[in-house]
Amino acid sequence: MLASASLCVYPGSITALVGRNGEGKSTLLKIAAGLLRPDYGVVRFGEHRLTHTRLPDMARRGLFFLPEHSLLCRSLTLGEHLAAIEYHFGGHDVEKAVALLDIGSLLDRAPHQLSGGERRRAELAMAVARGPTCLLADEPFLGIVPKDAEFLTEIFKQLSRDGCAVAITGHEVRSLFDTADDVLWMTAGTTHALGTPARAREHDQFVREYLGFEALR
Amino acid sequence: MLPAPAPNFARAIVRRTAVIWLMMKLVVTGGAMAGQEAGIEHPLRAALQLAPFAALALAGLVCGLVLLDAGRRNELIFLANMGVGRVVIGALAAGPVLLAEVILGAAL
Repeated sequence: MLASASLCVYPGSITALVGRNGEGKSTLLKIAAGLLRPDYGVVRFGEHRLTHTRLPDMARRGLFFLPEHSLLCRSLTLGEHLAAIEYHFGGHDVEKAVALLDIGSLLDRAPHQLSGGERRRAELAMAVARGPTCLLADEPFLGIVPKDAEFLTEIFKQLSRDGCAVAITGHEVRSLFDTADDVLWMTAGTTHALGTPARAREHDQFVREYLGFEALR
Repeated sequence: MLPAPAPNFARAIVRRTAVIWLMMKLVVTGGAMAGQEAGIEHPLRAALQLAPFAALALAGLVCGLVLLDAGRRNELIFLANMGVGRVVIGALAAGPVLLAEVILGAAL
């Protein structure tokens, strides 16, 4: 699926990975997270050059992966999830995460009792509570209302301001471009660095093949 | 504000392992009792006191089922995000099963 792809995320910046369905955005993110193994290539994490990555190892180094499907365990309440993170990583950021994501009233709820937006807020709260050095989020804006998307955008920016390297994928161009510092376009298994969202909007091929001229109006 | 104490995933996985192992043991025992009715000598005892290969196979099967169940409950990626890998979860499942098989084997 991937021919020549590379994804670079730097501390304090947000990279949006966009592209058509099936082009390999999620695959690239999963390779970076250590959930999939590439045929060749390496993952660099800080000073480390890794040929065989696994998510638990990457997580211990400071990475947090938000999958496209739910991260919340069916048998636990949201509060129990956060308590588990507090237990493993210390509780410095848990209170902050609860306040920041405004989920204080949801702590006793099970995942199936949360709406799509609440679920995403809850998952992002876990990421904030973890205090990661790198966050990889696969389609975080999928299926949520614009107000919640706006809220999540601010949280991603807050994480970035705290020095976290953030990469997000998706098709919600408005939310992604409002959030990102850099845009990476994936097509035919290859990544193209387009620069800032403003510069991406000026990229003829990107506009013609992905964005569409309607999006520029 | 948060529920205390922190949830003990290890305990939860071992508990789930115990349930799956017990269910599988019942299946094995049920099969053995049917064998007893057919006149095979001491099949119930043989079922409870499995030979090393059968015990290992049972532990592997239970381990696989626990991992499958953890994946179904979204626990695998959640735990991986906390630095806990499949091997640890598998060991948490297989360990008690093997221990129980050894204890049963010695007791009977």
